[in-house]
Amino acid sequence: MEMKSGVKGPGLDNKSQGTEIKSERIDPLVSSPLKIGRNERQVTTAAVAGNPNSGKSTLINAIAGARLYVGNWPGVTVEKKEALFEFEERKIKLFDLPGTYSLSPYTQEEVIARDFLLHGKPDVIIDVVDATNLERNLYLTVQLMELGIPMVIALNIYDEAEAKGYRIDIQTMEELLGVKVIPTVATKKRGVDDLMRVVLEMADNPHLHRPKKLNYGDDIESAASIIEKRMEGIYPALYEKYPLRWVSLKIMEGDAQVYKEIDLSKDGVFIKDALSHLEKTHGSDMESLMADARYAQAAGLTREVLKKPEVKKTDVTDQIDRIVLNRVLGIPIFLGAMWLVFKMAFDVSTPFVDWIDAMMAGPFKRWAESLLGWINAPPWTVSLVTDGVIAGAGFVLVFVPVIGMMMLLITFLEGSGYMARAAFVMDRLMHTIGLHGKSFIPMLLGFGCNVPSVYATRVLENERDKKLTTMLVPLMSCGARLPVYVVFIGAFFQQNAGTVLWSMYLLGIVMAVVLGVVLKRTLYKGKSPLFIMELPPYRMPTLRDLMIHTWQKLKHFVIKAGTYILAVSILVWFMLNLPWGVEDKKDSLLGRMGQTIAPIFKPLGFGSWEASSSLISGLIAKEIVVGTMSEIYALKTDDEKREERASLTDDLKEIGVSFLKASRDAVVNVVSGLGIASLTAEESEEEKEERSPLRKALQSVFTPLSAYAFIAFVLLYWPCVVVGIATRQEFGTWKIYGQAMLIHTVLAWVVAFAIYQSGKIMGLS
Amino acid sequence: MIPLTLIREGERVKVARVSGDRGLVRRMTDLGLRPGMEIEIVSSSRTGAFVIRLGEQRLGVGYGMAKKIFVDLVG
Repeated sequence: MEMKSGVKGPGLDNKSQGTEIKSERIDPLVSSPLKIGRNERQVTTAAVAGNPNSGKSTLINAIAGARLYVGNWPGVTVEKKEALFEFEERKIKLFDLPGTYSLSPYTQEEVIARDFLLHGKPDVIIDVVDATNLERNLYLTVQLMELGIPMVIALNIYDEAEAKGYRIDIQTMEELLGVKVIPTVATKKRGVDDLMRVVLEMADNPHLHRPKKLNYGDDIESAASIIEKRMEGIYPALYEKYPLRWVSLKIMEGDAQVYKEIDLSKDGVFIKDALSHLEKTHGSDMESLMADARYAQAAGLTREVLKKPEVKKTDVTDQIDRIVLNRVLGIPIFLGAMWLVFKMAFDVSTPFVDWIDAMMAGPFKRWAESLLGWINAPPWTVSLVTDGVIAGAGFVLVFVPVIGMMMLLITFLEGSGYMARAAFVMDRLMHTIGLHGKSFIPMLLGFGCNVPSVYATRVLENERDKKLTTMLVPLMSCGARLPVYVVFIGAFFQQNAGTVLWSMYLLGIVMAVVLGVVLKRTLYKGKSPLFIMELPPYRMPTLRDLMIHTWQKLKHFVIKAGTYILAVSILVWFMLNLPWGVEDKKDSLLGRMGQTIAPIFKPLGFGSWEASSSLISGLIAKEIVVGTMSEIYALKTDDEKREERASLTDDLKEIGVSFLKASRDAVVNVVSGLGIASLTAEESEEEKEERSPLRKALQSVFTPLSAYAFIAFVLLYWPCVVVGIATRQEFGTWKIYGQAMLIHTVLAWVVAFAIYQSGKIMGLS
Repeated sequence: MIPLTLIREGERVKVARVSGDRGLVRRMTDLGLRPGMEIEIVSSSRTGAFVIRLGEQRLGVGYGMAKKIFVDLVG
């Protein structure tokens, strides 16, 4: 078969993919009936398995692209990715299983993968193997083969293997395993079509494509066959559910999950007898014995088919690592990388932020008013829509560019392999606050949104780590706080925008360290666990992958904005406008609450009811803080805007032209920003004023110092109620959230106090 | 047989034993740290962590973890 996608590299062996079906291999490994002779209209299901970092998800993206649906495996936070698509008029559904190194019952990922393979009844398994790491990847392969499900190996990252000078004998590999092997380069979409054709062919003729039964040595095999016969005889129903070979091997290993699912109490003695010879010759640790046998297969196979070049040159990855993982430079480089991320995000997105902001306050608002006027809606409805809905929710949508950009850059760092180094570098730091380097992952997610972060603490194995991480995650400045920073920074710190923004993130991290050290000694004493992690070679992520992953992350925020915050903005509008007919916002429900609390904030520099009310509303979602402020100050600018009755075409022109201007500004920012200072684009005084009525209002109420104290407070104070709900779900109690609310708010007050007062002392007011 | 923590950068060693509870040992072996495997120390530090090369892979190993990997010097 030719590689349709156009490339016939010298190393890719075209001869091995003949179309003759080797009909000798009819091994009754699995007795469960599979449909033979499928209906063309049925959906073929394929489970995609493989090691982490084998390029599995890149491959799926290459095959199914945007048709990916990401959800969660039921009951856990591990992502479940499915893709349904058509290939040559056949429907195929891919299930992306979590990346695993093995199929033991020890980790959540493995259990999920196993369960799906056993009970999800996929037609075919696609085993994604990293060609540059054959031995370790084949360790999983031999385990997958035990399941007796038709399987094809996607020998991925093939280009890198070739670049390293590897020669892999694909034909021999296919013969030894009894499994088709298709070289693929997921990043370039090579081999994908051939892979899908093989999948369909196997699904149509499963009995011709059972993997070979590998010989694990006479001792093991004889014990296995004794157990197999007995299982077959006594539990005929068993092999309806499980592949016989696989379950027999698992019984020998003493696999906890299998023993849980099958009642073998009556067979204890029998099993012991069957294993007695093995125990005598190899010792009683069956699990290790089996692992060794499997490993021997993987190693032996690799020796047979892989030829490595003699000389090993130091590759780029090592060279980069020498710098990035350096004892002294490691952390500063990480901080620098993060700073770059924030700066770029801000530089590129601010012009678009301003554009959306102007559109909301200008044309959209006018259209809404016209529309409502057309249907003669009462004034309060008009106010609800323009000041409530549009001002509030619209204000939040404004930040999609910023968050999108940040997510894009973070996804890039992940995909390139740098994130693993960062986790490693941070591990030592994590250790000082009593945490595991793995805690870094939920913490990093926290920079997007704290809510998935809480769920992500599942990667941590022990409870204490989970709780401590959950307590510290809210200090990772989430996307919701970004609107608050951006507005205030835009109003007070335009000259140093990127740096001030970065300082907020840094402040959060520093506070996390401080709080962690304190908590480690008090509430959360305990041992910190051990760190070991794979560091994949550096790679350039593909654009498609970047887009897909970024969108997945961005989606959380967008959906949240679209629904939840919309509802809340309306709620806040009501709280600001009830009791009915209230004149001054000050006396509304929310206003009164704000007035009551305001004195607490006086020493922090923002003892106004407006600030307090906004902060209260932040309990619901931190974005709302600016949404509320926007609503509170909205009245003041209404009248000016009503004067301009622009026409529809004028509006459309305005939208188009200013969008182009925003794009230009973005480029200017990035290009000039590659120097040292951060620039926001030039604009006339008029435009500035027109664009941000809120900014003006804030400038009259806050000073730069109190503004900084304010955003520090917003950074650190209680996590929003959605985080609370997530915490409740994870830990089964509100206690953790309660603790977080208290500790964080006190911390926020203390820090903002320190900032404001020391600033005053230094005469910065 | 000495713990990995005592090995310096650039040295080549062979894994003799991995100590620890079952889950930990299992995780190690899954990643490839098995008795007999050769490791090259890419970078090390007295207080911090190690980067080791195991066949084709690079692994980041924390200090606490490194204490549990026992090795023999090779050559």
